Amino acid sequence: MKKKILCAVFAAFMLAAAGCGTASGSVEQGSNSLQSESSSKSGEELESVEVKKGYKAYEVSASNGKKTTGFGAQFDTLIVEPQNSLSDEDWVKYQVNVIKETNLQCVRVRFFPECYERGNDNDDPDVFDYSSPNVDFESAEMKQYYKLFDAFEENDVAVDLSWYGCRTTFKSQDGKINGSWLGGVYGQDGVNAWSVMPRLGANPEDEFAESVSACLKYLFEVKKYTCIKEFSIFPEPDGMTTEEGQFARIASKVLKRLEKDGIRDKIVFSGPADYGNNPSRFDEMYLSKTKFDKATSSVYKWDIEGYNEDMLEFAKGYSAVTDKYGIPWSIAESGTKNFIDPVHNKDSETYDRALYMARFMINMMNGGCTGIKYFVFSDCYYDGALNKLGLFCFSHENWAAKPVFYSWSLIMKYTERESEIFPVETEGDDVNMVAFKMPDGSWSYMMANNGEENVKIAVVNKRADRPGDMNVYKLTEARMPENRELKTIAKSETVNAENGVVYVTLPARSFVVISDKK
Amino acid sequence: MKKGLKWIFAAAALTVAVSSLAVPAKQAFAEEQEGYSVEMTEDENLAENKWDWATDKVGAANTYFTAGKGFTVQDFNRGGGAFGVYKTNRLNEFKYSMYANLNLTYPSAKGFSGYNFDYSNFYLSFLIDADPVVPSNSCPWSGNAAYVCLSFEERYDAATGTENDITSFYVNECWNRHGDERAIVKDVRDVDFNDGKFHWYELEVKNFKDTKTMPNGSATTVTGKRIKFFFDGEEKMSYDLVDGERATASAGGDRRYVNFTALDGYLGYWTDTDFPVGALKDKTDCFVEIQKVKIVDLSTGVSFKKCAAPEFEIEELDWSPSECEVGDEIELKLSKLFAYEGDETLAYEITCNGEPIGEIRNGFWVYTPDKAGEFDIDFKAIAGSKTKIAYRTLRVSQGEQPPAQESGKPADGSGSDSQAGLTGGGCNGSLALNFAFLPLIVAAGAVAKKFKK
Repeated sequence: MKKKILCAVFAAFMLAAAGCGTASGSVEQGSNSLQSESSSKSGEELESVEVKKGYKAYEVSASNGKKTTGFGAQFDTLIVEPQNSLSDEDWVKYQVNVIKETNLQCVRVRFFPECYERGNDNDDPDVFDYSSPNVDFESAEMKQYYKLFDAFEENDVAVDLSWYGCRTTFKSQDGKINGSWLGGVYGQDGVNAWSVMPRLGANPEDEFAESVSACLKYLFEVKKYTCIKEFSIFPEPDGMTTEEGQFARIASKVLKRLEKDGIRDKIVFSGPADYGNNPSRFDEMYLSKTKFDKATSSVYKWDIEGYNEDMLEFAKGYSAVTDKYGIPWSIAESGTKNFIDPVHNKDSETYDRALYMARFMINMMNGGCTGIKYFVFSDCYYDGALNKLGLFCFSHENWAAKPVFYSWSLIMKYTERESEIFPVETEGDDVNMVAFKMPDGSWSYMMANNGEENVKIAVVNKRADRPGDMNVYKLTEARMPENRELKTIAKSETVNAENGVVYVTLPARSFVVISDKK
Repeated sequence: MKKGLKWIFAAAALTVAVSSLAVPAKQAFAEEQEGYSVEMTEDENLAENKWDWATDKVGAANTYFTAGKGFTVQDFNRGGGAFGVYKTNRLNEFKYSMYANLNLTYPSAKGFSGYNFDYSNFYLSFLIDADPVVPSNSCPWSGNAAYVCLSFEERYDAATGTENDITSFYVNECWNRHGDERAIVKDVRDVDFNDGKFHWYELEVKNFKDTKTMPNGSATTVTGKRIKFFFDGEEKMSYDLVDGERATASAGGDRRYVNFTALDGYLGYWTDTDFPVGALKDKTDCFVEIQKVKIVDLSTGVSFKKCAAPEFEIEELDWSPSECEVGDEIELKLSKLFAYEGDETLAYEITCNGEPIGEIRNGFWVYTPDKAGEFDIDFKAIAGSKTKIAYRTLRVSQGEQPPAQESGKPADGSGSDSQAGLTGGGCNGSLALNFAFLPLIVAAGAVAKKFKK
């Protein structure tokens, strides 16, 4: 009898245990249409996901087939020139360490032939004489470039080396060179621009092409830099030349010379960094005439008042024309439209700018853009004028982070180059969102709320490769560190996305990142 | 190096003596020079009272008032200038005395290139006939109101290799609404203002009425305003603004009658330079420090006193917090609730039923409600001895709470709401069911025991 009772209890127990496997059938209905029929752990795609009532669901589903080319900033050698008096200690503490802290992914660096080819190497544009007394790859200027390149090399920062033109206001730091042998001297012979197209000598355009190629070859083969991934010439060419076809002609010469020198396949040619805000013209003037590997634009079209839909349409327009050529489109420099003068904006120090740049990034990515550089990395003197457009202040203002530092650093830190882009469709103009999947499989969801009210959203990701535990980083005007330290925003909570959904309340006027990137 | 002309000392009741105290250009607010001085009481020193002035700027230029030390105008470049106007009184006949250091440099001296003209200017504008007056009216073509300017210009002449301190009277064609049509009616080059030192700059404007004998022997009366400029007590320039018809060059030669005698207006300043955009004082070393200003009304002989600082009250704005939910951190920008134009920074105390609630961060009140309901919150703003309380009700609803999403933590009693629990599949929930059977197991054991016995 005893045995029978024990067996009965045991059997009852086993029946109950077996019943666990079927207990999941009862799921509360939510008000949203995504109804759970089966559930699975991360690793299997979910057929559907229940979303709690009161939360607006936005789904991360499919990549647009594009990968990011990087988020970064303009970063020039001016910061290490004597005019900025930066000590080695401060260079490391307030530039290199910030590169690391923020995960700066890419930079554009302005460059000029005069830095290394201080006079014509010789009269033969087909043969570059590295031993010419007019050529000095160890000039004071070039050493400043190497200082930057070394930091970029160490920290895997991709460089776009951008030949702005021939610098007519060039004054070498050793006092020996004044002006440009290719472009002229400012104020003389009608030269009234600080940087011009090559114009002097018997074959100025061929000489320019030779100079560019010779320099890149030196940087690759002698200095062994691998961080220089990209080069460009004459950014914003509308402001440089009115001669139709000149840009395309010089670009063609440069590319041919790179091929001749055996380095064409080592570098991406990007451009033209146009500021026309007109995709048709962009195509007609530049893309149809020049063989870019990557198309770029300079965009300063909006500020915090700009509408998401306008930004999105703009991006779609540009990426549509670049898609025709099978090349990615990215933004070579950006900020807001609120210029007081070329180095001051009305909103440089405001939270509006921080929130705008986050919204701008999301709209650009959703519209097909692949990367954005902010202008500029930090405040410093540019040829005697204090450039106040940086992500953070200069030494005399204690290197204080500006609000835009906090949004832009979240973007850089929680993405990587070559991340897959997942546009997310949202409703209304207050909230927008984009998702990224990094090469290592981690995810970042980035969303902005430009409205005055909190918004509750549920981010749904039913994919088999969806993330598990994720950290939440919330930026609002109130949450910025009051001491304006150069640190990215710390996580505020952890959520789990294993079951296909994460819930988050977007505070009013906020930028929120949810990421499992380490 | 600066090349200047030696001063010619005129025999006068007040002897001008150059101070032996060398004041470096960068040293602000230096000791007053020996010799000529304009007596003034503290109440007469208008340079110390920012409420008497309206200032404005374009670009990075700015006017900075320093308590007890007057004000400084700096950071002007081609990208923008600084403007200011003494706004308390219109002036007809007056004497303006200013103790200032005009440290005007020029681009090439500071290593800048890319300029068109190698200069910097500081202008005093007067007879600014505008109401209401705004700072930019000091610039003659802004509002076409500033009839006369006294200009101090530091200019480098590359052709001769000389630095020139040029002091000029400009008459601007404001009667024709063309202040940009300007004529230099008088200038001198022996005012050595740019020596890094403080000097007395005085402008006297008085109506005159002279009898003039015409060539035919008849007498005629000439009226107008006589303007004189003094440097450290020495008269340097004089010019008569004569009442009568004036040509209007920009209007095809029309002539209009200008009554300078009756004309009154405000006095102000503005800057101009060819330093490149973005160039600031620390690189240009170009600035103006004004330590003392006294203005005497010559019609009464009485000097103007500092105006009273306005009394500002803390203003409560028409704004209320939105409804929120339990667990949502709310951030309320306190500048939406209070406005205050005074100098003190507002401090805040926020309480509910007399107890502090939430915290203040970056000018926001931040609070996470942990229960639903209506809460009366007292927002108190404090500026010195002034306070203002805004009473607001915060409505907190329960809202839809999400499942607990922290990694590894179960839902907080929400039972079937939890998606980390039962619907997770497998036997995540089976532990609870297993415990349900524990009594049976115990019972079975008891039965077994009973049988054993």
